[in-house]
Amino acid sequence: MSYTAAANRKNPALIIYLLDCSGSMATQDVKLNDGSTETRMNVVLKAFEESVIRMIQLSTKGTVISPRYRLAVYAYTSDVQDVFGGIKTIDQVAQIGLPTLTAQTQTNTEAAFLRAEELLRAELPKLSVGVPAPLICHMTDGEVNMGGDASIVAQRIMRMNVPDGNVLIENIFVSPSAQLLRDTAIDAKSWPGISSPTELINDYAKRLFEMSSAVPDSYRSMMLEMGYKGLQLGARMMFAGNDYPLIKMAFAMSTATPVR
Amino acid sequence: MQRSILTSDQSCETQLQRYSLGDTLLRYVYARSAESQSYHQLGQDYFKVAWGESSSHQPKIVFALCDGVGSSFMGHLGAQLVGDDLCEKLWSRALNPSPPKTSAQLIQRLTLYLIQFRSISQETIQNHALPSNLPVLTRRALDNQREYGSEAMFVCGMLLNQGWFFAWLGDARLQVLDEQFAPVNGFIQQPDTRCRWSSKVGPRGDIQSMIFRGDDVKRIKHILAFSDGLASIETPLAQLSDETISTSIASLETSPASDDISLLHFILSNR
Repeated sequence: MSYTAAANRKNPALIIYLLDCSGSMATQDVKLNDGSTETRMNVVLKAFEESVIRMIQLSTKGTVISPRYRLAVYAYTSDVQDVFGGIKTIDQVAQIGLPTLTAQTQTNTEAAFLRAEELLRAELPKLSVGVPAPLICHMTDGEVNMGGDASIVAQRIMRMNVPDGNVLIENIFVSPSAQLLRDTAIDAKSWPGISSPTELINDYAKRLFEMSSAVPDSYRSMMLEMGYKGLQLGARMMFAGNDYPLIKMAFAMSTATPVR
Repeated sequence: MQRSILTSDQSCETQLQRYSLGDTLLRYVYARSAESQSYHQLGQDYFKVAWGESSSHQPKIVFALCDGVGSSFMGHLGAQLVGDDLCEKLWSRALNPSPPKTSAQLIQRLTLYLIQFRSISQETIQNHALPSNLPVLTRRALDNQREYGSEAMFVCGMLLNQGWFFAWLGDARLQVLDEQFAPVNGFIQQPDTRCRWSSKVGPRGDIQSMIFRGDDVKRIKHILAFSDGLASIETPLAQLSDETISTSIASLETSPASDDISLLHFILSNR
């Protein structure tokens, strides 16, 4: 399990986004750099857009976009919406544009992970040697109020593998830092990441920690290149807080598959 | 003094060629990555060689080989800009006020040239027109890149007053070998992938340099400058026949990680 396979047009990286669109995502409590606040949904969409733009940049030579990435986006509330209608390559996403999502009612996280599992079962047999391990990037702002235990599905997914390594799961928990973390003094550029559940004070955050893969060395190297110099070896692919720089960092990690 | 110039054509492949620069033979090759070929895109490598009559006033040979950084704005353009500028400055200002005496002096001059060049290079980048029909996300991605600038790694060299002067920034390769293909004076280049030239900043990281003079110059038989697209070939390139190099390049082009390839191989007469 090296996680060293580089994304290129013959071996594109598969990234599956699971985005919580429950009603609480309309809460206007995300702190921006200038001290103002914005809704969780708007900030997540902005960070997601920046990630897609970065993937386009990493895939562009001249003005042509190479299909180095394949994206699937599932927005979930009480049910799951397949935003792009299946997997789209990054050049197709550039043509289609990004979705406008609106905050709705409930939170059924298990349903979202089941859709991701279903997609992976169909895709994994097609992924040969040289293809980067797929990544699920899950963003949520709170506890489940519908469906079953998503962590059981997540553990199954984390046991799925390709030659490059097991499927990776990243979790982004958007909620006031003081309710999640012991140490809330976070500067994204020097933040070491979360390496132990004891750093968390919220039970749901602890469960998300257990559903999060360890950051592979290759991803950590890419993050260091992007300026996130503090990320420690052994940190999990988990982010918790409601500062925009941290959310931006979290989505940046979803673009940290090695590229060639 | 009249000079002759040879440049790579970034729009197509150039099979391995041999060209006589007076008493020096040049082997060169240029190939775009498989991806650039399939999408009819310009290659992001670039080289330029200039040469003329032997003179105490100007270099006899000058070259630059550059590898545009893919994730920067129009890497092909950055490679060409810095390659042309390096050759021009080395040709016209190498003796101004006198030839560099030490590596440190050469580095200092090149650093200054490249910092001075920023205003021209960044203006070129800012004025580079994009197609009007680009999708919104693509345009935003390219505009962000444009703000950051275009980047390239390079290796350059010149033969001046019986001395060979070399400099490099980033992962552009250089080998200086004797008749038995051994490194002259034990010189093994240490490329650093973190360093590059930027149209916006000038050098990002420190330029490295090596100067050969006196008996060392007489021992030099092969000078090779090449991009990292050829780095995976294990047999030393200087020892490979034209046919083997061509076959190896054709094989590299079938790799999923196929990269642009450029090679300048100077074979000196050691008169």
